Amino acid sequence: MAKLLVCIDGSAYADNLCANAAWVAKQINAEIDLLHVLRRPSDYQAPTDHTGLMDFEVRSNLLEELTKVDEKRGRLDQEKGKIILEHGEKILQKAGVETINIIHRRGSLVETIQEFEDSAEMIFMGKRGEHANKGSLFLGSNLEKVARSIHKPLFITSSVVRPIKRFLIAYDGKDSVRKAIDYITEQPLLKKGLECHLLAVERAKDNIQTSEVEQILRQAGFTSRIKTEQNPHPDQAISSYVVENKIDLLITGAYSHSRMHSLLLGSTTASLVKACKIPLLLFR
Amino acid sequence: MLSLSLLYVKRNWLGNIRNDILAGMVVALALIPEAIAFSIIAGVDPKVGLYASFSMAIIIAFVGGRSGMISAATGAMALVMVTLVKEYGLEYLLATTILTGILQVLAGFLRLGSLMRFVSRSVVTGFVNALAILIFMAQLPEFNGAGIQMYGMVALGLAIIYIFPRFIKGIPSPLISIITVTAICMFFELDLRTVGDMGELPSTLPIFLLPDIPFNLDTLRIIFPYSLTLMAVGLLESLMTATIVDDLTDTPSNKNRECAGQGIANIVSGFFGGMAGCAMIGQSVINIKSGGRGRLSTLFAGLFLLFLLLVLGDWVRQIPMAALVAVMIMVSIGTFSWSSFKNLRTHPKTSSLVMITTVIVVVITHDLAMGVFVGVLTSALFFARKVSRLLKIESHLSDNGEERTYKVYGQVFFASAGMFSDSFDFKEVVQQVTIDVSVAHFWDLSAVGALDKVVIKFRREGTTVHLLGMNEASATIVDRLAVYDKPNSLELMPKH
Repeated sequence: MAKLLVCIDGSAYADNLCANAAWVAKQINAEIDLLHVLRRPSDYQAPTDHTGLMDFEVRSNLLEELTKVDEKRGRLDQEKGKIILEHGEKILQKAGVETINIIHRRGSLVETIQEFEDSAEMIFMGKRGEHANKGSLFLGSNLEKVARSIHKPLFITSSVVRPIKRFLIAYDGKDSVRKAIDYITEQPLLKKGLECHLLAVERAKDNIQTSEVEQILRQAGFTSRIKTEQNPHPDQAISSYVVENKIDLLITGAYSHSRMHSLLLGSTTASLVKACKIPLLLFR
Repeated sequence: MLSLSLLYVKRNWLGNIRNDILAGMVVALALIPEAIAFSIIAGVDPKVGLYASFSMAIIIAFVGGRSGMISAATGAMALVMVTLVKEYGLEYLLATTILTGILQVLAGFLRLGSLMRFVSRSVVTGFVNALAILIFMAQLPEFNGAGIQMYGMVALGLAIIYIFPRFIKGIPSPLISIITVTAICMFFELDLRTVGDMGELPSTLPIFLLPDIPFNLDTLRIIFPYSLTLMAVGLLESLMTATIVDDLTDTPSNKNRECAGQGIANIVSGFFGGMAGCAMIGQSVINIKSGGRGRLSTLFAGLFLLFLLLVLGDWVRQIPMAALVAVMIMVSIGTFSWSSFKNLRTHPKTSSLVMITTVIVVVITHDLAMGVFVGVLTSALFFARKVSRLLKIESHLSDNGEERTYKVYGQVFFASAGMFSDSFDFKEVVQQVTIDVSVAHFWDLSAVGALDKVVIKFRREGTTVHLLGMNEASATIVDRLAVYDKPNSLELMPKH
């Protein structure tokens, strides 16, 4: 049975995340691994730093004190983690998911997700973590790191949640978006009477061929609306298309440039995630 | 007391008179070529090696810890003193010999002989192989600029050594080889270097002399390092030989007495103008194989050697170097443990590595003691690594998923402490962790430190930790320090 790895924390996205995951689980008949990752004690800053000022006796006393501080905080974190997981479990159960595995771990989020990635069909994350400012235009730093490091489809939840009826494929002809199309045509996820849109945005000299994709989608039983548009800013073109056509889910290939490249040019994918207020399904 | 010492004399001296005397004579004959050849390796007159050989044999007969073992000037010791003789001369060598003896007596009183058990079999094999290689290499300069006659005579000598034992059993074949080669050289008047060309031979009994050197700190600074190496090499080879003789005769020996005995023999040898020596593996085996068992065989070997030299000195002078080179090549071939090649395939890789390391270090540094030191060190490290694998940690999660129990089996010490710490899953979030160490052993402070770190790490994450069986596990560390758990703890208490 397929597994979905759902990474939740105490942020406002947790509820939406569970709702989206429950929908996907029902579509493809999957079980859910509900994951919460605690920070390590070393990720917190020490309350004081007296390095160099201490003799041995003071140092061991201080170590004991610091350990006690960490211990208390660790217990609180554990309690909080348990509450978050129980809350998520309740939502999933209510939505009708049958099998839920609770995974409570400690460490770096990226490493933990990599550890469980292999057994998962799809990974779910919120746009921002609990510590990020909600009004901010920037993405959560964890999301960016996870998106770059994993190899499975990544479902990114936004602050709005609504039933998914129309989806849009942002098409650039590259390998990752081809993978997305393979997934859509082969897997049952989006096949139950959903409306399919495909938008190809051509920058100055691009020439994106859509006829082949159109044929593949048609063969798979999708009645899709295909549109090709000229615009130097693909992210703007796509987000206005989403708003105009009331798209509920955006599907795209992720980060096809190397990291250095995207640093210099600004990644279209990252700005898409920022600009669109709807859930995204990213393919590597 | 009297009857006891009579019994001792009877057992060690008079138990085997006829065989001891015969074996002693054979050994004396076999000692001559080697004593001369080893003197030449060391770069001193042949008489220095010969004086050493008979004074050591005579003294060790009384003070040694292993009856039937032969001690004399040896190749291993000669190799150590080469540079000393080259740079400072004979008098410094005699002083070094005396100091070596003093150090060996000290080692005997400090019971360093018992340390021999830390020298593994692989190190001993490496030592023996390296010794063989060094002895062989020391013969090569003799061939420098030599003509066809030299090569021919050496080949003839070797042929006699290896073929004659098939026909003649009673006389050592190296002696036959030397006599034959010498006779041929004299008869055909071949122009080859002889022992007489190498230096002076003894014409009188050795005389007691103090070494003619300045007695100050500078002298000590020169001779002390050599003495230390000679002490280590001498004791090592003597104790190894003692073990071999123990095995051959199926009787025990007193290793610490042998240490002190070697020391006394070297002190006497030094005062009578002899170089430092130690037990000889080859000659001791010849002695045992010829029937020698008691101290009388060793004594008689020394006395007969003295007699031979005083009577036959003029003949010994005529021996060509080619004959001695042949004998030395035989010694090196006989010393080398050829089975160690075959064993490379079957023995554990670490043992072979220790053996090869010992050989390589000796051949590079020309220092047998350094080789043994490195060999012992590597074998100790390999042993620590092997033992560190004797650690297993099992864990299981309670049914409600809130408590994990770790059970530690095996040895935790400096080499396995890292593996111990890595066996715990700090990424898993559980409320309680139990670490059961009751069947584990914590050998040192690294182990306790590692456990401490594990406990603190769990605690910092807010996990409650329970330790089980810490007293049993750390008993190995505290048993020397702690009083409370000993049976007579009540009597011990008032002393504090």
